[in-house]
Amino acid sequence: MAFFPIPFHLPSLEGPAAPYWAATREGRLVVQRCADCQAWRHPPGPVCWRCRSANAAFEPVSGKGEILSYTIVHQELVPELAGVGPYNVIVVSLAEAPDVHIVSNLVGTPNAEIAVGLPVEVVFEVVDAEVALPRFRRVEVSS
Amino acid sequence: MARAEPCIVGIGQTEYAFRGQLAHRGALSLALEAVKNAAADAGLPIDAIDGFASFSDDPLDGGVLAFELGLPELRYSAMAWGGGGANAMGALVLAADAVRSGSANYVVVFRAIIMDETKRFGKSLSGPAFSGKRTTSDPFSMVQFSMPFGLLSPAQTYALSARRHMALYGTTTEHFGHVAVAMRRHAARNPIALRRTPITLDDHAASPFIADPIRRLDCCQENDGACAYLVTTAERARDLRRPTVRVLNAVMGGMPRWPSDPASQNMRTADFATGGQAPLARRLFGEAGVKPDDVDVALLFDNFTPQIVMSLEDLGFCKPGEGGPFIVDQGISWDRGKLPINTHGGLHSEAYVHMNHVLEGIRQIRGTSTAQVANCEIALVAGTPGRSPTSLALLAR
Ligand SMILES: [Zn+2]
Repeated sequence: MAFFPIPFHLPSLEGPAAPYWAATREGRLVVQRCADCQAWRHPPGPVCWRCRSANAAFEPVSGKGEILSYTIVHQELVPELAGVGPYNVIVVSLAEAPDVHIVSNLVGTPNAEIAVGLPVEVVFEVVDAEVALPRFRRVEVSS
Repeated sequence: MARAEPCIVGIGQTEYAFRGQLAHRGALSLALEAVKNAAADAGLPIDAIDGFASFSDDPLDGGVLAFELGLPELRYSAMAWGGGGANAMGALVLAADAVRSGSANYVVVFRAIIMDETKRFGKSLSGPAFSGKRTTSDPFSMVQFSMPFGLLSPAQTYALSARRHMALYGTTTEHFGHVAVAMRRHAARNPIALRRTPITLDDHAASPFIADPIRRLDCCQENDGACAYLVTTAERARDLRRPTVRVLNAVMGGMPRWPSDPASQNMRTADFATGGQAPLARRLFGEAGVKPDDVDVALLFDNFTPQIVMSLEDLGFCKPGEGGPFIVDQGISWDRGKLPINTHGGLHSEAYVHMNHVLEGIRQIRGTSTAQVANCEIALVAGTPGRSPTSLALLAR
């Protein structure tokens, strides 16, 4: 089931982020990484923030991470959100690159159980033939 | 002193009114009224104004204002670049540099705001929605990493840093409530404030969530209005009628790797639960030879109340994580607080013009605030946290 019943504000499939969205459509999460010094960067950009190299590639990541923060949104700011009710927005810090933060939504967990530090993993919600959005679900930690 | 010292010698403003109520006048009319009032307050003939500075991409430029006012000579027109309202004090940096260097003699810093439906802060950052369409015609836009996930307004964006601050340090929504109550208590004394009815912690706790943990009573106003102030050198200030307010220091800048627009949330993890102003604050105080303890009143950017908690920490008034307890235990009210904050009622209750903070700082140094702090000698004024570049200033008697 779609997180938002009616999609809105879909991403651009051209430009520097195109490989990111092409990968999500194939069910893979990738992050841009400097080919010279291996620094991760997100959102994608033309130059490495650490060594200023223009050489970069999009590398697969595990899609695992933890919730850095979240909000429960009670506003209905676009018509497509009418009646959707309070929904969560999470920021995920990726396991391989903790300074890379993915803004997304947590699926399958009641809003009241969301917490900072919660371990999560990526899932992909196919929107249409061209777009899949990365969302996250809670990872049960076995004790 | 070898270098000409910049001073503020006049302040002016229009009435403040809820969003859209002054739209029929247009921003130009509001700006001109504020500029004229600033010159009159200083006792300076309008003909002497020879420069303008603003910020936040204000659509009115120095050429427009000089034309309308029929100024004999325009010598300076500049915009503090980037950061939106965060760079409010960046315009003071420019004006101070201009009079110090002699580029201009009397520079007016101004800002006019009319919040029509397309510019409302409480609404979507993107303007009208377009269902199922690509985010934007600009494939280089960063909002494609936030908007598809429903992160659409400033309140939602700022809620994220607030929530992490709560998780890291035990900060509570009641701490935010204390800020809201104090802002409203100050506004109740201020005849020009938009919201003057006192509120209680219970009122705050009952206020509906906008973006949890931010409630409606944590949010600033949406309104129309304009502010202006006049900057010149100490030498020229002596010939004018008002007590001069010295600009001890004004700085603009940002934290390393802090995004200009925070929507993508890709500031460094270690900086996430901050306002991104700590390095700038160290420079502000260090260059001025002043310590946080020396500050008598602080005009801090309360676009949302959690920002006050983080600003107290960034600016060195307390340690990281201690902002909430500082507000409750030390106090921020004009008459009882260790550090009085936003004695006009802030953006929360007076109005949101960015620059109304500067005007209140000037009133405090002059001794004319409606919530006057005793023996007020040094005021700190801050631009918006959470953006880059942001800006800070120290004003003094
Ligand atoms: Zn590199």
